[in-house]
Amino acid sequence: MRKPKSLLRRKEAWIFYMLISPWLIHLIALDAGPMLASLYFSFTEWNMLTPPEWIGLSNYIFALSKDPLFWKSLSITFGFAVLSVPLNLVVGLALALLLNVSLPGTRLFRTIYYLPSQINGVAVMVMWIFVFNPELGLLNSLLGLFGIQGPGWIFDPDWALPSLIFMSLWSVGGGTMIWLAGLKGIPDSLYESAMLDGAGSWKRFVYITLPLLTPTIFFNLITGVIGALQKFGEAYVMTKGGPLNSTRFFNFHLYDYAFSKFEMGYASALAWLLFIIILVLTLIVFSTSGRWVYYGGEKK
Amino acid sequence: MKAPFLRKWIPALLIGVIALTGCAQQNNSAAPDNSVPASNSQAATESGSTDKIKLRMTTWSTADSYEMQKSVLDSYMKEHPNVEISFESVPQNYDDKLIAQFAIGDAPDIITVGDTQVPIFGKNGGLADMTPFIEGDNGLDLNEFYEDIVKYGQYQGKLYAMPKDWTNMAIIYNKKLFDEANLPYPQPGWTWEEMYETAKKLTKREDDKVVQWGLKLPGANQRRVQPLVLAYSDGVVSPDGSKYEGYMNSPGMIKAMQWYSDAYHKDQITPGSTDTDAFKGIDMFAAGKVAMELNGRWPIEDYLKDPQLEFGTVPLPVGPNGANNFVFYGGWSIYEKSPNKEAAWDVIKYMTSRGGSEIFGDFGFVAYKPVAEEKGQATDVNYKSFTDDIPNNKIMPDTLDPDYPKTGKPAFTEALEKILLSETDVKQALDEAAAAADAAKNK
Repeated sequence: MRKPKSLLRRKEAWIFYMLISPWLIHLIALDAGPMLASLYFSFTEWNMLTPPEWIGLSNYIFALSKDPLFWKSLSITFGFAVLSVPLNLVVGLALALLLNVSLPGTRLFRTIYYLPSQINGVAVMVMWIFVFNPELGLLNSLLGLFGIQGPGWIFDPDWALPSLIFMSLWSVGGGTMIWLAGLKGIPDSLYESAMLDGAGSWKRFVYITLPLLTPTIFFNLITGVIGALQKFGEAYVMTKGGPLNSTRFFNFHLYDYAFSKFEMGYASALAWLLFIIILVLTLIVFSTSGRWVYYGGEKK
Repeated sequence: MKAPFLRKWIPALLIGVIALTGCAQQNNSAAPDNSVPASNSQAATESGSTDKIKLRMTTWSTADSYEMQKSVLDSYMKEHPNVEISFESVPQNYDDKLIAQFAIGDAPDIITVGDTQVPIFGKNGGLADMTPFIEGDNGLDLNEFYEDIVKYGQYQGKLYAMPKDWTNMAIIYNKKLFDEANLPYPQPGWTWEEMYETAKKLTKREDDKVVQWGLKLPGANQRRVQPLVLAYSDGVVSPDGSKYEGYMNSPGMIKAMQWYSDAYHKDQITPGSTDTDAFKGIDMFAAGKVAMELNGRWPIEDYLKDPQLEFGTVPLPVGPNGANNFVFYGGWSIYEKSPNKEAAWDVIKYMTSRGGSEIFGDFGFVAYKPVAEEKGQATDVNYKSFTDDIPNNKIMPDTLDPDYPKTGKPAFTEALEKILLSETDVKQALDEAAAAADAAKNK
């Protein structure tokens, strides 16, 4: 009972656009204008008080060749992404595997692990400032019980970025829920037949769970990378990009130019550069996905 | 993949989701943007069939300070029933929001400004020159105001703001802790070296851990460090605001910053950043943890209410370059594009002279002489240390170099952070800062 392909395609396309329509409407009605405006401003010098002045590519050239903190902030941002994204993937998946076991109380634990990701934003960051407090904070008090003198965490230039990477695990529960949904989508029959063939739990994980989870890995990877490259709040609320610029995320750098230095034109150029970087990275991940992402219903 | 990027960033750029630490009176506490929309004024416009003049006024103040200003506006409106003022409080992101409002041409008629904003907006536009109003039929006699304070509203010969209140700096000291150490109270004219030695004697240790510090210094706050800077040097920037090399790293600056570094590291006479973080939310002076603090007038009303606390004030110490001080200033400006400048001026005139000063003078210094005298600003034992020092107020780098927020300020702040973090080569830190500031200047 094969339907003509084109009809199916058309129907799929229709559903696709229906599903993304809220976002599409939002983009066209609310975002497109400011976005185009910021593209224009990125070619100007504009302090928001006097009219913008067209300076061509100067902002982009300044960013790439002169701004002493452009590459530094970019490398800090990438360093954060490279460490925090895999860390969150692994921990998130590990938690999901544990929470996938049917035991009494599992539901309670799911809630407990999911909850922090719902309490987010500035309040959590302020709480973490206290957790990281070198003198009275939770972390160093705990370490103190074992006779360890803890580091200065976010107050020490060498520890600040690792501290924020560690802190990023706070919201790991959000990813865990997506992992869990992915795990639930794997039919039990596959595990049963594998067990009949004598596959142990590790083999079952490697040959059944992981391949069938690749769409979830793909999703969590892409959203994780995008989220990590856009880190801002932690730097703004907790460290002000410091100490000594050690947590100067790219977006904080951008914000600093926009609202502390009143260089909205240059800040717009930075925003577009980040946009291009994220776009390219995402396209790269997408282009490799055919090779390692396996959708159950797909014909190879 | 565009969605989160756009959703987060474009509105953030245009409206400003995050605050900028500009003025001293602005608090730095992190909270989501809860700026108050101008719903009052909109409602008023819709129902406005009468020919009432509608004005908008904005401030960063909240709570008591906001209510105090509101009460002054209410009295004004009672006397002038044809004027309706909607008063908008923007406690977070004040500068961001204001600049965005300038950009779209819809800023409030009356704008509260701080001293650092006057040169920026004076140079780039946004605020109206008040000189014609001062000199007009409904004018003011500027001789009734302290000239030294009025000048903070001026930029290149034009007057952009009239003063609300102000404070300069002084040393507040804990008499009990001085008595315990058998030390005489500090006297006007003392030097930074004497203050250092005094603080050393007031620093107490138990098992190598400091339990009481002699003096609380302002950390990496580049503005509050200026009195020390100017005591030993000619300032961080050349008088014409064009050059940092040879100023930010002058021999005097190196000496001043070495003083600062020693206070934090060598003798630990002042609480370091981890100590102040540990005491976050606690007034270390009121708690008796520090014997002296370099501060403005702000905490004094609270200290007076504390029966346990016996304190005194003394003017800032002097250095090889003499005495110097600086002012935190709050004032009111008129929006350049306001359609009701005359009406806005009349409100400002009321607030800056008797109408407002009588209220604001209870909690801060005012510039209107008749009220300042009635409130005992120059005679009160605690306030005298501040007001006696007015002639020593110096021009701050923000005024000398309107690009300071992107040139000298980040560079000097970074140097201070380095100096605070660990014992460091002060000269090298300042050399780097001077080079960075000049590089940003010549972008």
